[in-house]
Amino acid sequence: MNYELDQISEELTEAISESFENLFFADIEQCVSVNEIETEEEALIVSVDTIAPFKGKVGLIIDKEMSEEIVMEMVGGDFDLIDKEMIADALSEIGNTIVGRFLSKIVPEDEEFSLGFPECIKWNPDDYNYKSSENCKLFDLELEDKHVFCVLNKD
Amino acid sequence: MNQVLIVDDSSMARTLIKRSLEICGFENMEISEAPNGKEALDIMKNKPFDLVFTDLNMPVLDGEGLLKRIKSSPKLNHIPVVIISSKTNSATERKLIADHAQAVLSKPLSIPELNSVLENSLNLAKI
Repeated sequence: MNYELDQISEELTEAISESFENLFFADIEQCVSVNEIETEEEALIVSVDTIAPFKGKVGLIIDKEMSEEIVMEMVGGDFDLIDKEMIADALSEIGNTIVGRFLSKIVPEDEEFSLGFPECIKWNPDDYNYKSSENCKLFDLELEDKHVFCVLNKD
Repeated sequence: MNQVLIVDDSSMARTLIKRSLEICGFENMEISEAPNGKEALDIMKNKPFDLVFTDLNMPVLDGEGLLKRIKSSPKLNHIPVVIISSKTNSATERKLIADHAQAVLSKPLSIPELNSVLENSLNLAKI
């Protein structure tokens, strides 16, 4: 089976939408394809490699303030108790959940899929330089006046 | 008091399962945690449990191994085991159910689905 990004993008945005709703009760109001990622905020990227059925990567770029709000909503409790490690753990869990759900949507029922370990680091646009192309799709997801960017990349 | 054991190598994943259980609103539930199947079995030696939630992919002893050990133990095999994973497909689900998993849930947990599993599992555990 040929996994063309144009044909599987919808499953990815569905997986993101379902995961956001169930993990921290956030509704994605709009999802648009973009050519570049434009964020001036301090942000984090959580990325997970897809190993099978295709080799590639899914990345989510979330600004720092929103990351903190997401963690508060996910785990409950006091804002003062949230630290960098907790944010990285929470975003990694989100990445893992989204990519697992995405791959389970695109593979035929009884076929295996495989994903790598999530990695959460500070977002630096110069390190990535993602541009929309046949093998790279970029999405801007809007929720409550904030934006999360998503990268779907095929090796 | 229902005794529930959550087994996952990610502390955040364990926190999220606890949070989902809180949202379900079941009272009288005491929750214990273990980071892998081996430590779960150690905890189960000393404490009776009514329900176990376990991830599949874990170091030392994974969720499938834990399920098999529980179901082959005359002392533990009455305990319902619910698998929670982001990496399951239909074939894996069927295999786990054949190995006597109570249910296989995909991440992210849906509260209605979790509620239904809790009602069924805790009732079963009391029979």
